[in-house]
Amino acid sequence: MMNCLILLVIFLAIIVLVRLMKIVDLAGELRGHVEEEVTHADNQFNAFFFILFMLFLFGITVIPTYMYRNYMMTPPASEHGQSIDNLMYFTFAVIGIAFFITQTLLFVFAYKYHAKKDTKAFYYPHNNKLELIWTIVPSIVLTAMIIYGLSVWKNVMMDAPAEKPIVIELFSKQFKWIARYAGTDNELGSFSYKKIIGVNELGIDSSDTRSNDDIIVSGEFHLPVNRQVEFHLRSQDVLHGAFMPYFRLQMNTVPGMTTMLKFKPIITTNDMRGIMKDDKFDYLLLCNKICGSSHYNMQMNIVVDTEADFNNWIKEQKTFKSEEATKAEITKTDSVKVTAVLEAVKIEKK
Amino acid sequence: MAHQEHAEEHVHHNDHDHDHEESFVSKYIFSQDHKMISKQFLVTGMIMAVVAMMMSVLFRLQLAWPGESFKILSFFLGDKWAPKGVLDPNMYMGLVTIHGTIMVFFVLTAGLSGTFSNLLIPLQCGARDMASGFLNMLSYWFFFVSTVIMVISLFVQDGPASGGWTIYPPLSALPTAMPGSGMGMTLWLISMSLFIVSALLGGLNYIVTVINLRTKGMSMKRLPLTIWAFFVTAILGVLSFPVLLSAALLLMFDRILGTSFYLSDIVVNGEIMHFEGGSPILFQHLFWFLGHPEVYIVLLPALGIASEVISNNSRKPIFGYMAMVYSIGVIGFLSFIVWGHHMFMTGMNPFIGSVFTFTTLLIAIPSAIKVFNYLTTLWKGNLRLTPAMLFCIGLVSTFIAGGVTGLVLGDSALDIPVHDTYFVVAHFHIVMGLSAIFGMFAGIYHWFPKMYGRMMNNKLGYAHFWLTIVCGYGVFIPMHILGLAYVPRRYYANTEFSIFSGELVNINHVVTFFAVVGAIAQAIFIFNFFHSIYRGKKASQNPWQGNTLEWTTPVEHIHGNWPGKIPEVKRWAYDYSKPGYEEDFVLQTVPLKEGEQEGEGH
Ligand code: HEM
Ligand SMILES: [Cu+2]
Ligand SMILES: [Cu+2]
Repeated sequence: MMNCLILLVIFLAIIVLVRLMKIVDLAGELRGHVEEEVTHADNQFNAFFFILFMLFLFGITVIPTYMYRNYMMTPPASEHGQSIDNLMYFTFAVIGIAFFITQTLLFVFAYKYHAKKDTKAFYYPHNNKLELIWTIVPSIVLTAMIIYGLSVWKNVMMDAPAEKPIVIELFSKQFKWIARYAGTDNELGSFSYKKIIGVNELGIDSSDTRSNDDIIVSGEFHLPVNRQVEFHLRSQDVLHGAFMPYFRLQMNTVPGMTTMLKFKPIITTNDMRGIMKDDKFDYLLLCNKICGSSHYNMQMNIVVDTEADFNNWIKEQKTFKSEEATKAEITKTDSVKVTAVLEAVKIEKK
Repeated sequence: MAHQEHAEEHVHHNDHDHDHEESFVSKYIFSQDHKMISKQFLVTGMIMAVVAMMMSVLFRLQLAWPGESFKILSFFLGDKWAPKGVLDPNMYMGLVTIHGTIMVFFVLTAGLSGTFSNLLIPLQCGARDMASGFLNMLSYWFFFVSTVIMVISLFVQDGPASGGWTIYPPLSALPTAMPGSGMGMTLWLISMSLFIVSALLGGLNYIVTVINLRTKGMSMKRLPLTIWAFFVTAILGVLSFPVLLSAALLLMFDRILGTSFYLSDIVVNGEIMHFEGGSPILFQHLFWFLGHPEVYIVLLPALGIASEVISNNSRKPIFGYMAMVYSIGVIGFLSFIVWGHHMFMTGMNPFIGSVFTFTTLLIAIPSAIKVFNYLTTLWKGNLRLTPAMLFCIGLVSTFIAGGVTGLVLGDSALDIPVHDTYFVVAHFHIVMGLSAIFGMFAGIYHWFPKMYGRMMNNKLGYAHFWLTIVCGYGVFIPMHILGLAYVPRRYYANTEFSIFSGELVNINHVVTFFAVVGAIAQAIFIFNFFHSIYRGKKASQNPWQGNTLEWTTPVEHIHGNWPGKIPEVKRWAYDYSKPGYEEDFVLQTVPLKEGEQEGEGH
């Protein structure tokens, strides 16, 4: 192949370089110059570079962070989001301090103690007291982080919400999200993957009366602000990840299993557009578990409405029952047509 | 012991005219000599590293300028995978997957452990060779075949495996779900299975050699920290790789025999599959039961090398030797009970998630101890800034930078918003892609004279180091910003969403710029390496004035390592600048003076 040829050329180029280097070396030998392993100048030069490098490192951590501060950790739009963000700030404070102290010590030591003429190292194999200190101090800090972290985790994932949630199913498949509202009875009708055929995208059991009032939407789904929501997550084919970064929400969808998420949105889409100063802003449901070629573009809009807007919107949506009826109608007429055509063909052949 | 005697006999039995005149094949190809096998691992690992690095440059181009045409893409990938020079989304994922697989397994497991465990375990323990030279040879050849199969998988019709290096089913189990899950995935599984065999053969050998073949006087407490690190690494590998093998086998069964270990209730492309009752989550448990220890399999040898090189070049004993040994042990142990931190978002019971958060954050304690001990070793040292030493200082810096963000990801509550975003990519690259790789570079620069009998060029080494660390941080620090802006990883393009486009695209430009420069900088190293093999300055026996046994062997490689008897060990490995000695190092073979305290005793 062409490409292999090119690799060969590169290889040859390297050989040429090697030859060239040889000549340079020979020239050096002729001048009779013998090198120490590391010269004094090498040490000085590298030691100095460590200080420069430290400045570079601190620069590249601090400056872009400052420049992009409005892009990171955008305002949390859910009730628990703020508590996660607070934990994040706390953690960053702790690790930031540890980072700057230890990096400074590292590079300053590297600079300060580089070998100079007639310096000798200090024989210092251990010190129990020091070692005890730096076992205990990190332990205390980590204990604080663990306790704080787990209390937030428990609050977000385990504690039962005070009010009754709206139940919504989020269904994923390559490369699309579908949402199903549990309807007026707030109960989802049962389903089976074996029923996923043609128009019944979610495999819903139509004989289960709980499914009659379910509402299926795709492309975009709405949520009322300040109401507790419970998502039931399902997948049809492979793993997907339901990721709603602005709500600080994430959970994988797993075929053969229902996973859950709960939260309460606290800022409507309209208000958020104001906060973000972007009148095109939309909350998104992304896919965050590699799922195939269009993984990068598997999305659904989320609209957080006021209670009144939400009620209006949901009233306009068709229920599973009514939709099924119309679809059945269509397929029936379709099949009538098809059989008619087939008959006609048969007759012609004869 | 039996083996040592045997080896000694072997040396004497060589009949005179055939002495040292082995055939080309038995010397360079099917060699059973640990020094040659170590070089084989190293060179194979380096070639694979170049392949994987070029892949990263290709997909970085796409990430910085999504959908734009690049000649280099159509050049390497052809019209099929880069029509009109625009990378195909499936190939994007194929490249990411193979890049990750090669880097983690072939470069940082085989290339790092394989090279330095093989080279240093016999030399630093004082053994004539590995416990079994034959199994050692097999270990290399299994590895070699596995790399060949992985490379072949790049050229099959439907492209290489492309479900990510973690190959989660059902995606990886169903050829209809994505092209890469067909033949490419089969080859991936075969290649990895062979790789696991190689890792096990190698690991068992390392363990047995360290336990049985230490020379007289080399008690466990006198072992250099390199050996401790390789030893614990080998134990981790032997305990965890079989679990990956079973995970891979069950996945093969699901793919070939139609079993349902990982699959249940699936409809793909309108086809209702027969699978019932399996769980994709089971695979993740099995995978990460290896996967987390694996990151320490990658990291511990690098830390071991750093301990040795830092102590040697600081001309000071490593500070807190016993604490370092315990830290390695504790890290090794804890690494087996933290795997769940990769699975907080899988629907796992939140209470179990809490347990994994707890164990994960615990690992920070021994890691912090190691960092402080490195710092104290540098303190009041007499630092010789060799290229190896520079890379070790770089390693400590990146170990800190990558370690602290582990505390974010290990905290289940914080993982909710950043799981599977670029924050993760930034974190593991700084730990593995910089720290562990730096350890590998340090090892190469430091032990090159032992491997090839010549020195590498220092000036080129310095240029290599400074370009690498600047570009390395230049690539991975800005990725944290993407992560905190919640940009998901494994996206072919970030521009499909307005929230990720705009200004954030500039970050991708910066990252790609540093990635390209950093990749080119590696040419300096490759050139230096191969050039020095043939043309480097001849090395003296102990060029770095080290204490350990490898520097008592002759520069010329001989079978059995030492021409006469194996030297006896009389003291620990870290008597640098010890008061009462003229020189600033004391070989491990020098007897203790009367009344002299050994090791950490004063
Ligand atoms: C030239 C330097 C490198 C660059 C620019 C680079 C860049 C990347 C990028 C952009 C990804 C894709 C992330 C995603 O979409 O999920 C990636 C994945 C990965 N890289 Fe690197 N990388 C480099 C070197 C390394 C090294 C040295 C390692 C060794 C540990 C490594 C290990 C990985 C792994 C394990 C993955 C994950 C693959 C997956 O998600 O399946 N990379 N790299
Ligand atoms: Cu998806
Ligand atoms: Cu892990």
